[in-house]
Amino acid sequence: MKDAEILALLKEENDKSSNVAFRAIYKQVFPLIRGMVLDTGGSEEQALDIFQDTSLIFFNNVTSGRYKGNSTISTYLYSIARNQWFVQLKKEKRLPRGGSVSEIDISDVSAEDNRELETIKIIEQFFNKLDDGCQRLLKMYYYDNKSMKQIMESFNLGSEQAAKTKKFRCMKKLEGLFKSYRIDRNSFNI
Amino acid sequence: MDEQKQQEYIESYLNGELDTAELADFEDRLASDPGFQEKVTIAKEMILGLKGTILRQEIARIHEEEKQTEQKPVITAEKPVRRLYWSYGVAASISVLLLLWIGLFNTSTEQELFAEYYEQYPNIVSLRGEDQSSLIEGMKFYASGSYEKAIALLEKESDVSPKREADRQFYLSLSYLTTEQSGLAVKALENLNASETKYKQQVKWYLALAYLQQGNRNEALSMLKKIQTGEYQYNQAQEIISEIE
Repeated sequence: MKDAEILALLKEENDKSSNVAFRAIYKQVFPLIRGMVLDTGGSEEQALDIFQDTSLIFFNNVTSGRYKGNSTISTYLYSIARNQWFVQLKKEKRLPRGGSVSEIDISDVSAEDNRELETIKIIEQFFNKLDDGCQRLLKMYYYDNKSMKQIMESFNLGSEQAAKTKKFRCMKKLEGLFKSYRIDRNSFNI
Repeated sequence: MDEQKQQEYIESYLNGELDTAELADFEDRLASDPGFQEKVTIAKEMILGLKGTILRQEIARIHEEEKQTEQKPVITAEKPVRRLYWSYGVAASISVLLLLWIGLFNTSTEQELFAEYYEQYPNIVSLRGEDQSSLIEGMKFYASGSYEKAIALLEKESDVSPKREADRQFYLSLSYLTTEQSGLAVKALENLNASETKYKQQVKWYLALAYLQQGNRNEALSMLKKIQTGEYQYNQAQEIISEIE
């Protein structure tokens, strides 16, 4: 699949187009990332984790307009992945002999990218604590881009207003968990 | 404004759905009310987090599905339908599927197959200051998609290590392939195929594609058959074999 097609699909921001785009990206880039991680003593699981982080950074950069297309998608993703992986190896003090982080082009990953990634990981923990109904509804609304009418039908609710209220309550639960985390985090920083 | 209305209002703002007057009101409030500002920040982070969380799950699912298809033997009657489905993202409307199904029975030409399967290989070479400058610059052009410029630089023979020489030849041949100079691509890839390099698996795949670009069906077929289970692009190779044989 051509880069332009992948970008067009991602900008649609719905579940079907994202799935097609990320499947294409997966086929193109995952084997390379997997090879790099396994060659430097990592596991299959770590390779998937790096690929997931890389994909999230890429997705956020595309939807926010920060990805300017200066290099092709596969090169861009591979360099982000290499960067993320070497930073992790450095943390674990397992950098391969002769390798150091300074050799890596770190211009592709900004502080903003890492902050966003951190936020996602925190929300992920809290999302997993929500009940199945809320998880399904929030996915339909924020990721699949389904309308309130479609959500109403899928959940057998009487009206769109009822669907809106249900969505509001689910977000409220998530916000409660997230807010207490933010308060803790801020008080630690003081 | 009750809390639910306020959440909807903030989300409309984040989605860029407010009109000019509403937007001006919103921004006034944002500037003057720190509590409101905090709410907007939280909403923004939550939505970013939700999308990211679900995307992460979706990728894990794609990973599982692809792992399973890799382990399954290729079923010629079924697989092309699935590939077309995913690659075009067509909704499962019967009429569209029917069209695709009919389309399967038209044999593709070699060039059509090439166009369908060829994807640019990423720049995975990490070069250092001491490497030859034509190689460093050439790889930059390759990565940014300026293949003609990349060719001009990569054609300069390098006097460095054999490892770098393999990098140079590999990316040069891919640049030929992308710019449809199939003769040169085939020659360079055949050359690489004759020696042991870290690109051994990739070379088989791209050489097969170069033969397809030339319209050389038989050579393409025999090269594709040399790609073994688990090797680079094995599944795609099997798909093409079942389509042209």
